Amino acid sequence: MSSFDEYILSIQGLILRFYTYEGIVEALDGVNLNIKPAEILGLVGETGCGKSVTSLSILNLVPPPGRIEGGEITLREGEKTINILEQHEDFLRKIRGNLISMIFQEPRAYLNPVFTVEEQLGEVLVQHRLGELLNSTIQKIDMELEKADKLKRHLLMLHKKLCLKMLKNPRSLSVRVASKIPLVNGFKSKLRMEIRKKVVELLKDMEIPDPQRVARMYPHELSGGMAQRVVIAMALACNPKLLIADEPTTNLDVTVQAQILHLIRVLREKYKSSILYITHDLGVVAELCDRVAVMYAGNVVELADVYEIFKNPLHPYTRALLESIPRPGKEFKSIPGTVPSLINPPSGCRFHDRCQFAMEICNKVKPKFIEVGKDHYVACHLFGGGK
Amino acid sequence: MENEVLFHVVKLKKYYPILGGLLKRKVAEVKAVDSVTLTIKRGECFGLVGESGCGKTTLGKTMIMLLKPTDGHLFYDVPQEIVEEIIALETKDPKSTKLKQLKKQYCLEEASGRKLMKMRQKLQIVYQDPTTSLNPRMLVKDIVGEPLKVHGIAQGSERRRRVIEVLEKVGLTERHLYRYPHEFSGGQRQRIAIARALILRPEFVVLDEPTSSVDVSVRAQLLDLFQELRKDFNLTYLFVSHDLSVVECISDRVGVMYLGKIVEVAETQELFKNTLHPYANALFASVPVPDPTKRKMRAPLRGEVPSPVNPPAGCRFHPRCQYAIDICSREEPPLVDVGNGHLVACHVVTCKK
Amino acid sequence: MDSRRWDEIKKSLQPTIKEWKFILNRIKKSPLSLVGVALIIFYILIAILAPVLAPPKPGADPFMVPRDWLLLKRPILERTAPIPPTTNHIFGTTEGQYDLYYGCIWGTITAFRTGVYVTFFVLLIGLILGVVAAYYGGIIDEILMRFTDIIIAFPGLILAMALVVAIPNVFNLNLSLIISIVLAFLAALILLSRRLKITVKIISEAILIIAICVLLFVYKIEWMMTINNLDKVLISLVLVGWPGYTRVIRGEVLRVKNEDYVEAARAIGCSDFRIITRHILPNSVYPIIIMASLDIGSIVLSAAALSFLGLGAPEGYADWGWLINISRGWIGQAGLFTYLHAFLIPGIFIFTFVLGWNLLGDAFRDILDPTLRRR
Repeated sequence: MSSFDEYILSIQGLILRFYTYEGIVEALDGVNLNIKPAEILGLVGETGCGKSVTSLSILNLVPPPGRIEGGEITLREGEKTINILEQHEDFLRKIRGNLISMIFQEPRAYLNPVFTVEEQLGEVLVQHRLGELLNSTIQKIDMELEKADKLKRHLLMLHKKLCLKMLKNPRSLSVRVASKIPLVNGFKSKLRMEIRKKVVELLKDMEIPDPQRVARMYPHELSGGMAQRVVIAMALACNPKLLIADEPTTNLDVTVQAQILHLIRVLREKYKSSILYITHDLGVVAELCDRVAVMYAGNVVELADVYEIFKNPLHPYTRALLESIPRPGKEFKSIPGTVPSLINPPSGCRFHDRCQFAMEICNKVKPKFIEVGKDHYVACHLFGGGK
Repeated sequence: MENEVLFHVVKLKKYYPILGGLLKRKVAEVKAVDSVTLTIKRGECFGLVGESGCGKTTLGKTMIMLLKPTDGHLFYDVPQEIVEEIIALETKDPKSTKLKQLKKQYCLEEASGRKLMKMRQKLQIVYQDPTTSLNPRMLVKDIVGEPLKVHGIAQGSERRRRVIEVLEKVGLTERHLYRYPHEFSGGQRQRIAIARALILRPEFVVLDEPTSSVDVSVRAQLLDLFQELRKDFNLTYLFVSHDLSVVECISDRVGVMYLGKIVEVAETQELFKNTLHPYANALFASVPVPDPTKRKMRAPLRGEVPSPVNPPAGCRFHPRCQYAIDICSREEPPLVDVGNGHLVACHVVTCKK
Repeated sequence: MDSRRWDEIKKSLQPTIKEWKFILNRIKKSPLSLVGVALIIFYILIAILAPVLAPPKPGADPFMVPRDWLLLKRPILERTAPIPPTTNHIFGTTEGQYDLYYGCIWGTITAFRTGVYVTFFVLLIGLILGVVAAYYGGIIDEILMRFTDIIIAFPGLILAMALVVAIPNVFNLNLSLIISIVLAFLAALILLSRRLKITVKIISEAILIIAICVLLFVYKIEWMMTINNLDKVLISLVLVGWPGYTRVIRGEVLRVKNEDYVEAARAIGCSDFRIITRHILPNSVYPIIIMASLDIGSIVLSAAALSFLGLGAPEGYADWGWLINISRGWIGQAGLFTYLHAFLIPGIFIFTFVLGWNLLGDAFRDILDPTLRRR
C-alpha cells in the first residue's frame, strides 16, 4: 500500500465472518482500503457485497453473530497510528461521533422522535464540544459584567465561577448542586442559549432555510431532505476527521439528491473532513467522489482515481458494471449469473464463475490486491495478481 | 378493428380526504391526482416520471381501478367516436339517460362486480418492492396460480402446466414451485411478481418502479425481460419510475408529472433532446451522470416539493420556477400541443409560440 | 401415478418441514423454553394417563373425587380434618376426606378443558369481530370498538363472578329460535355469494325460508338444559375475555391490510373472503398464538380463583381450585405445617401448570417474532 504519510485511515486484510444458523457467512475476505485526508472516497458495489459491514467494522459496530477475525484498521491522528481493532470500548466511544462519524440511509430512523432537532443537536454539542460552549458563555457573562450594576455583578460573578468550575470538571458536585438552586442556575440557561445559537449556526451551514423554525421541529415534521441535512449537521458538529456516509441519498428524490451532493462538496471544503461515501449508484460516484473503490462479494476488486476508473476500468467486474448502465439506443447488457452466496463462496477469485476472461488459475488462487498503475489497485490475475 | 388508442384517461382525479375533529369530518383533501388527461396507444410503453408525491403511482393504480377514482373517466379499448360523444354529451346535456347508458357500457370507472372482475384479467400491475408484494406465507406455485384459481380458469394439472409455462417465460423453473418468496433473491422475487401479473394474459400492465429495488446488474436483466415479454405477449406498459435513465431506454413516449398534474408529454427522444417545461428541465439536469467529466457545479433546483394538500395557486411549479411571469401565479396552464404530439403545460412556453 | 402424487405431497411439505426444523432449533437453544415445553408435555401425559394413574371406581363419574368413608367414621372433632400423606392416600386428603391424589390427577384434565374451551371460544369471537372491524372499518369499526371498550371497562374477575351468579343453572332453550337464526344467517350468506348460479340460489333460499317458517310457527322445539357451576365459570370467562383478543386481532389485521400483497390480491380480483382467509389471517396469526398460550395459564388461574371463592366447580368435582377451597378453613390451624399439604399440593399443580404455559408463550414470542427471526 502507498506510503504512510498519505492516509488518515487504512484497512488491510479485513476478515469478517457471521456465524448463523445456516452456516458461516464469509462476509469480508481480506478487504484493503485507504482514505486520504480531505478526500471523498466512493465505495461502490451491489447488495450483499459487504460495503455496509466494512463501514461498521471501522467503528467496531458489527452486531453479533458477526466477528472480525483478521486484519488491521489503522487510524492516523497527527503523528500516531492506532489499530482500531485492538482498542477497548472506552477508546472507541471517544472517537465515535468525534473523530469518526457516520450517517445512514433513512435519516428519520436515526433521529429520536420525541426530541426536537435543537435538543438532539444540542446533545451532540454538549457531549463533545462543551469546552467551546462554556468559553463563549463566559465571554458573554464578561460582556454583561461591564454593564451591570452592583447587585447583578455578584450574581454574574457567581455564574462565571460556576462555568469555570464546569470547564474543569463537568460533573463536579458544586455544579450539580448549583443547578438546582433557582437564581444561581441562571448560568445553565445562558449555556442553553449558547447551545441554541450554535445549533442555528450549524443548521445554516447546512443550507437549511429558516433555521430557527426548523430547530424547534420534531423529526416527523421534517421532509426526507431536511432530515438528512439535520443528521449531517449532527455528524459534522464535532468536526470529525472522517465521515462515513452509508447510502445517504438513496431514498431521496433526484432533485433533493442533487442538493445534498452539492452540500457535501461545500462542507468538505469547509470542514476539511474525509468522506467515505457508500453507494450503488455510479452516477453519484462520478458526480461526487475523488477516488473510487469497487467491491464484489466481500473483496475490494479495484481502487483508483474516479476519472481513471471511468476511462480505464481494469477489473472485469468494474467493466461489466459500467457496461450494464442503461444507455438509450443501446442494448441492455447485464452480468450473467447472480451474486454468489457467501456461505460457500466460490474458490479462488470470487468473480471467476461470472467472468468472461476467467483463466485456469482464477478458480484456484485468490488474486492479490496490487498496485498496477499510479495509485490504481486491482485484484485480478489478468494483471498479475497471483505473484 | 382494433383501436389504436388502448387507454384514454380523461380529467382523472383522485383525492384523499383528511378527516379531523371529533366526528371525523373531512377537513382537507390530498389532491394526489388532479385532473389528468392522457392517452396510451396499443402496444407502446408509456413512461411516467416524477418525484415522490407527484402522484404517478396513484395514477397508475387508479387507472386499473385498484383505487376508486374521485372524478373523471377511464376509457379502456373504446373507439374514439364514442369517447368524443360522451365528452360532448357531458357538456351539453349532463342529465340525459343516453349519457347514463353510454357511461355504464363504456366507462371503466362505472364497472363493478362481474364486469370489473373480467376487466381485471386484462389490467395488471407489478409492484415496486417484491419483498412486500408477495405473501410471505404462500408458496410460489400458489402465488402465481392464485389468479387462475380466483377467476376459475384452469384446474388441477392444467393450472400447474400454465404456472410452469409462465415461470419459464420469466426465467424460472419448475424447481422453484415449492418454495417461499424469502428463499429467493430480489431479482428472482420480482420475476415471480411478473409471472403472477402475466398468467392471466393481460393486455395492459402497470409497472410501478419495478427496477428500483434491485441491483444495477439485475436491472438490465429485468429490462430485457420486459422488452421480450412485450413482444411475445403483445403488451402495453405504463412504466412508472423516478429513474430517468431506465425510462429513457425502455419507453416510447414519456410523461412528466408534478404535484398531481402532467406537465409535459412527448416521444422519448424528443423529450430528452428538447425539454420545454422548466420543471422537466431541472429534473433531467439533476440526474447524476456516470461520467466524472460532466459534473454539475450547482444543484439545478432549489427548495422542496410543496405538500399536495395545499398546492400553490395557478401553475403548481411557479414558486420554484426561475422563469415565472405574472400569469403563472393566477391561472393554471393547460396542456397544449406544440407540435408533433409534444404537449406542455407552461404559460412561458406557450406564450413564446 | 400414485408415486407421483406422493412425490408432489412430499415436495409441498418440504418448506413447512424446514420451518419447523428452524423453530425446534430455536427452542433447543433457550433453556427456559425447554422447561416450559417439558412442563406442558408432563401435564399432557398426566391428563392422558389419568385413568391409569388414578383409576376411578367402576360405575362412578370419573370427575367426582372419591371420599374415604372409613376415615369419616372417626371421632367427631377429627372427622373432617384433612390428613397428611399416608400409604393409602399418597397426597393425603382434604377436608371431608376427599383423596387429594385423585383430585389432582383428574384436575389436570379439568384444567386443560377449561383452558382449551375458553381459549377456543374467545379466539372465535375475537377473530370474527376483530377481522370484521378492521377489514371493513368505518362505522362498523367504531361501533364494535366502543362496545369492546365498554366490556373492558369492567374489572374482569369481578364481572366474571357476577356473571357466574347471574346465569341460571337450568335453561329452557328455545331451540327453534336458535336454529332459525342460524338458517337466516346461511340464507344471507347465500344471497351475498357471487359464486353460485342463480337457479341454485333461488332453490336454496326457498328451502331455507320454508324451514324457518316451519320452525318458528308450526313446530317449536324446546330443550331443558342444565349446566353446573364449572360450565358457568367457563361461559363467564369467555364473556369477559373476548375484548382483549378482539383488540389484538384488529390491530394485526389493520397492519396486514395495508401491505402490498393484499393490494396485489385485490388487483388479481380476489373476493374479500379470500383475501381475509388466504392473505390476512395467515400473516397476522403469530401474535395471537403468543397471546393465546400466555392466556391459557391466566384463564386456568382465574377459574381456580373463582373455584376458590366457591363460585366454580360443585362439591366433589375434581378441580384444583375447589380442592383448595374446601381446605380453606384449615389454613394455619394447629400450627403452620399440619394441614399444609391440603392446599399446598393443589397450589403447586396450579403454579407449575400456569408457569409451563407462560414459558411456552414466551418461547413462542421469541421464536415467532418476525423482527427477531433471521430472515
